[in-house]
Amino acid sequence: MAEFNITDTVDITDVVCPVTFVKAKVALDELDEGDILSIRLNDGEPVNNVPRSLKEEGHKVLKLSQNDDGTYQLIVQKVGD
Amino acid sequence: MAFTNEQLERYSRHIILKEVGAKGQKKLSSAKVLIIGAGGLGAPAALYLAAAGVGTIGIVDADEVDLSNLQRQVIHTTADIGKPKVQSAKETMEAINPDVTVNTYHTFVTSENVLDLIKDYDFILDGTDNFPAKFLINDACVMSKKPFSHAGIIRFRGQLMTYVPGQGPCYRCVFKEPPPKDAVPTCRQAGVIGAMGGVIGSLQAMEAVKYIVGSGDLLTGYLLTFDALKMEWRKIKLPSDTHNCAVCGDHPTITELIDYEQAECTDK
Repeated sequence: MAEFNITDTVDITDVVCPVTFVKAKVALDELDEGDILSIRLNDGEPVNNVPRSLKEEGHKVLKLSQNDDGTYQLIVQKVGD
Repeated sequence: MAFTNEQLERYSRHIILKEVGAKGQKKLSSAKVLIIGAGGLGAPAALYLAAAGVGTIGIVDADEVDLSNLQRQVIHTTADIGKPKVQSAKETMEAINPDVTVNTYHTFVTSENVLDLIKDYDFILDGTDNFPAKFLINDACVMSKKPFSHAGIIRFRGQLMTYVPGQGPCYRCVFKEPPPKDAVPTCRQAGVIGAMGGVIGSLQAMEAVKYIVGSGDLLTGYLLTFDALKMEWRKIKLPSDTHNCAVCGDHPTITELIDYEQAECTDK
């Protein structure tokens, strides 16, 4: 994870749509512009929708990668306040 | 305060909105709104504010639930007849949303108690059904520098406006003083279509929520009227000159609260 200076992490594997996006959004709301959030999310619907929804909110998706346990890690930079 | 997963789900449709977001929802959680009157207007307003997660909601009403209330006062049920309206309202609001603290005041608003009732609240909703109470609430809010939503409904008509200190006219700027006794019938005498309380009371809740989250434009400086028979809305721009108002003007002549005499209700 050294490639990004991660400010905070959130796990959204314990909730389902649309709360997945809501939980990620709430975590981003807590951060300042330019901060980086690492999101742990499930395959399928969350991987398909959460990055897209966050982009629509104006945030910058930096990286999406698969973890060893089958979940994904999404790295997002907060844009705007 | 961090949201639990359950709260994230409960308020997800709010939090998703850019204009609300997590910050707005937190503001709602820490906000205090007072609803005066648990009747046609207050009932829907109380339901929506409780559902929205407004952290503290006060509700003032001296009456008990009556069978004739149930045609429009949707917070009360047939089983609540005879119960204080504030108690019945509290039970329904807590059933909708256990996050909400409901304070009940089983009393009429008077010049003696109104300042004390409103002092701890951020926003006031006037859901009363008579002119003396409406002028009293206006004057008390002006004197205490509290924002409030005025509304009134009768027959197939409704109206509302929002007062925010320093941001436009108050109710008394527009309506100088109560009409002569019996010049205007009460809704008990004149009737009111049930859904009108839902329309206008919901708009009062909307104004309270917008004020709390700080999004959009309020009905400050405007009177919004609705005629349900014609399905016509009018947004009337009010005079912006408040200098000569007897209560919110530069040299107020009303500096103490007034208990106007209420119109007699002869026929129940």
